[in-house]
Amino acid sequence: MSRALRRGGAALSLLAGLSLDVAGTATQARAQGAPDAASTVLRDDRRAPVILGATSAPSSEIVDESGLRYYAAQRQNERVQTEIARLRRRYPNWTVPTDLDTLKPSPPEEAPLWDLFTAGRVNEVRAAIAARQAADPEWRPSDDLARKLNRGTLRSEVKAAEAKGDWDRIRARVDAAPDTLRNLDIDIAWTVAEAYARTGYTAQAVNAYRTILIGQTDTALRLATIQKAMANLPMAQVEPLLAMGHSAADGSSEFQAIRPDVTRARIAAVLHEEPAGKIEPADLAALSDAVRKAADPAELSLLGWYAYHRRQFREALDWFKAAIARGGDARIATGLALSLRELGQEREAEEVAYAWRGPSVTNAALYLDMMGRRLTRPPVAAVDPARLDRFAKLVLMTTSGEGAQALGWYAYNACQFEAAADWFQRASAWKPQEAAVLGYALTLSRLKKSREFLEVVNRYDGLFPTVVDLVLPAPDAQASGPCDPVRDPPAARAAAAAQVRVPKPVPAAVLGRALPVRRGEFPLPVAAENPFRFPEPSERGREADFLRDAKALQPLIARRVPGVPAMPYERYGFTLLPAWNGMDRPTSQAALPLPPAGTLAHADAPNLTQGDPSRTAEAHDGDRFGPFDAASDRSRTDSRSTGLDR
Amino acid sequence: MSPLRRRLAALLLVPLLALPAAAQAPAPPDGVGEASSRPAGPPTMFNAIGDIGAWRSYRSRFVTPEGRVVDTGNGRISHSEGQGYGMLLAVAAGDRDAFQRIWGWTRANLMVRPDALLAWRWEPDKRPGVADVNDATDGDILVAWALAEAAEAWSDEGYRLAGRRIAVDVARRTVLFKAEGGPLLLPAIAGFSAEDRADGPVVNLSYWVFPAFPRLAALAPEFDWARLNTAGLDLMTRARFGTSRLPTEWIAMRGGVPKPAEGFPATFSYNAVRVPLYLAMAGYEDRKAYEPFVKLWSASGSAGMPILDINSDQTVGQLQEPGYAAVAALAACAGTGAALPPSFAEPAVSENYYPATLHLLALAAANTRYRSCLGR
Repeated sequence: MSRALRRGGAALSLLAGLSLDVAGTATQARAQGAPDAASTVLRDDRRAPVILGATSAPSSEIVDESGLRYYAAQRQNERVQTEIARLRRRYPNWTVPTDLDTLKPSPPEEAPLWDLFTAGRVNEVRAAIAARQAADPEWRPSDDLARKLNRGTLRSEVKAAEAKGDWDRIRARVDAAPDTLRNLDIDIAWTVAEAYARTGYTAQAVNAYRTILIGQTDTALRLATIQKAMANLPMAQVEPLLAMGHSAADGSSEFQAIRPDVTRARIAAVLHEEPAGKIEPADLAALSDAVRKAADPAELSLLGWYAYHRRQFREALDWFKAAIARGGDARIATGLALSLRELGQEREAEEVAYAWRGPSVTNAALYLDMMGRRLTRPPVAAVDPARLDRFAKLVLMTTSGEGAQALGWYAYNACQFEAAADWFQRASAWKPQEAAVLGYALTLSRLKKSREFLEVVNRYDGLFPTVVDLVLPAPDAQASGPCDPVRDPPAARAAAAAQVRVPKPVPAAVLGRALPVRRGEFPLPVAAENPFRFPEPSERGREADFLRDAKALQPLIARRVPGVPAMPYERYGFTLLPAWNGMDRPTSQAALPLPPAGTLAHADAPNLTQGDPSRTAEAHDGDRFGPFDAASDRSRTDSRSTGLDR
Repeated sequence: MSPLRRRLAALLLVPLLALPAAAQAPAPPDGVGEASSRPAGPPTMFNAIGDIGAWRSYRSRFVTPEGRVVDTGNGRISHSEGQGYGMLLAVAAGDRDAFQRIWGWTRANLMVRPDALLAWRWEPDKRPGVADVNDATDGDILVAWALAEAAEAWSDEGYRLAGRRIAVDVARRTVLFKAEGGPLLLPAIAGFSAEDRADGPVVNLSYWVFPAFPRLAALAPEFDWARLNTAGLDLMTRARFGTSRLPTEWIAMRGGVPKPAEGFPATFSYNAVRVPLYLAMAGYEDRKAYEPFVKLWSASGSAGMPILDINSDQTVGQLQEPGYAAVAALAACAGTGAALPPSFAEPAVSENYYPATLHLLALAAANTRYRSCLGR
């Protein structure tokens, strides 16, 4: 035991080789920051933002001229004039069609039907037709009436389905009768295209928009069509439609008026890592000016995330600051905090994330990770009491294993082992990863709590090599940590080595050599279940109707766990039982393989050479966890230089 | 002791002694509150099991006082899936004490990985208890989902934070966002990718926990969960093999075209039985999606529901316990509007963990989304 106690700091030489990802979310937040915010800006992240503002709204309106056309065909001039007057009142920009004189009359017996139709009483028209056909099976309405009636029916059906969001129904309706697609009113054509887009029929949606553009000459309606397409389709699908724009005499596109919308949509696509047309600097500058003037927080932050995406953090910071000043929300605060951190203003970043931790768990995680990093990163410096106190409170409130572990190491490196034990105990309950359990075992060792120390080491036999290593002689026992008053005199170490005994329960025949640990230290039978819970469960459970689990004998020989490297005692010729799946060899040294190719984490992994088939261990923020002497100075010529006590 | 060290000691100890039960977060600038950032979503699982007796019976058979969910049909081991189901059902029963126990056990015993994912398998009376540090993505997703539900139900930011960390690592480490025919959800970090297998990536359709994705999107909005969800629905329509038009448990996605995966039995079995359950729990309304399942199960006799070999179309086994029939009844309800039988509301008291779990989940889904099939 004494060996383990004294070796506290020195044994950590292995820690630097561990791959730990306690605060991985910090990096993740950095890497993922841009898309994160993009979805903030866009109400629906599959859709490009479209601003149908006053400046670019179509000037033409959809005018139902069917009644007018009927009366004209019937040469009922009085009614024609009345209808023209009505339409003019309702649609001031409407112009009288020039072809009214050429229309042919429909049969006179249809006149009442047309009256009903003109009045919008479509169901009554249908009823009247049915009644007429019941009396006279040969009778058919004129083609003109039938076509208009069908169009009217389609319109009302499409509108009703659109109101209910039943896009499948719209798609099914037009697919069932493709003829109806010809000469649609443009608002219905838009809705049909949207139905295709929303139900995943992208190619048909593109076709529908293309058809509209081919048939439509009104510039305002063409612009609106492009805007609808941008709202409903990935930008890559919209770019070919944009290319259908006519060029004016001066070479400018007819779509110039919606250039800012196009730029905005392209930015959104870039933030979603989707293909889109090139964003020209002039377009970006124009959009920036417009956004600065309008000062809408969502728009401001979109440009913030775009700057962040391009790693122009100073610019990103300015946009996010402006967005926050204009009433931006918690996600914009995330952008602000991340930009500050990238600019090295970590203190300010911490304040922003802390202030906004309530409305967004992302900010809470960001704050905890930034503070955790601050507490465990050498060179060490004391943290202001108020700052530390609020961090500790949040760690306890959220039962953050990562935060508890950071506080554990902070206390450990300050040689406050009682506090370290309390924090590591919580870390071991909330997130018992190797670094946390190692910290706990080391701290118990420092506190000379040998029973608890041995229980932890034995519990994690087979799982955490660095923890088990604490009961074995150190390959490098020269060093000591900043909290050690004196180094072990060589004579004392020799005496300790003499106390090493073979533990009895391991069958002698299996062992080539004796395991160099003290009798009664390892292996010991311990419960496999981790007993820690903070807060403790209520008493109620004792009486409640839970399953009583019969416990068998606690085994002494560990078995392999797939994904775990060799146990340190294997170097003495000891071996482990086969794994649950029969595997009997340790996993390669990398404690955690790279995430699979194609995942975001894989793409972000540092130092990955292309084509290197061997997955190397991923470097993590978590590498920082450990006593500072071990983490900061591998050679440890003077391990006291980084201690807190100076 | 130097002044610095004394100060540190005081700081580190004080919070342990006096922690306000609910440390109040100061209001953020501009008065943006919780509600504004949490739009209303699908119906929550909270209190979705109307029958507390059924939950108590479940708890007494499968949950230890420590919070371990025991797979009684499988050597009394535990796994991340079972812990996730246990947590979810505890929320659905409104049983916070049980939830806290199960979550407490889960994190203390399975969260041993350096990332936020869970070791998938744990065995009692072994050294060490963790049997495999690889994860199982469905277990990860279930635990994160349950944490999201619990965070809403009991206003606990700790649950939300833990759920977010898991959701982030599921998205970052197990989803192939740019795969052909994707995004694809790998069943685990290790063993199923294109590098690991000649026919990889290999996926399992029942790991797309459809009702969970809107919740995960609220926890980790920076990832495109909706697209992952859609890809799963799309895969369901494409991964229909043989004359039965049913998916196999394991599906190879090399080249983007689904095929039954090499080295696994090409069966529709214990895993895939959950596909229509999750569809129904998510409120998926396209009745055509349920057709192959309803067709298979409507022909089931008293021997149980068939385990089907997709290639030969032969029945190679039976899902015998009554909990499975609850899934079939729910699928028929969602797919055809069929009324749920009286036995649906009365889970058996003697079956194993897995069918018992599926039954309670189906009951929760019926209570929240299909009351008409219950005759209410």
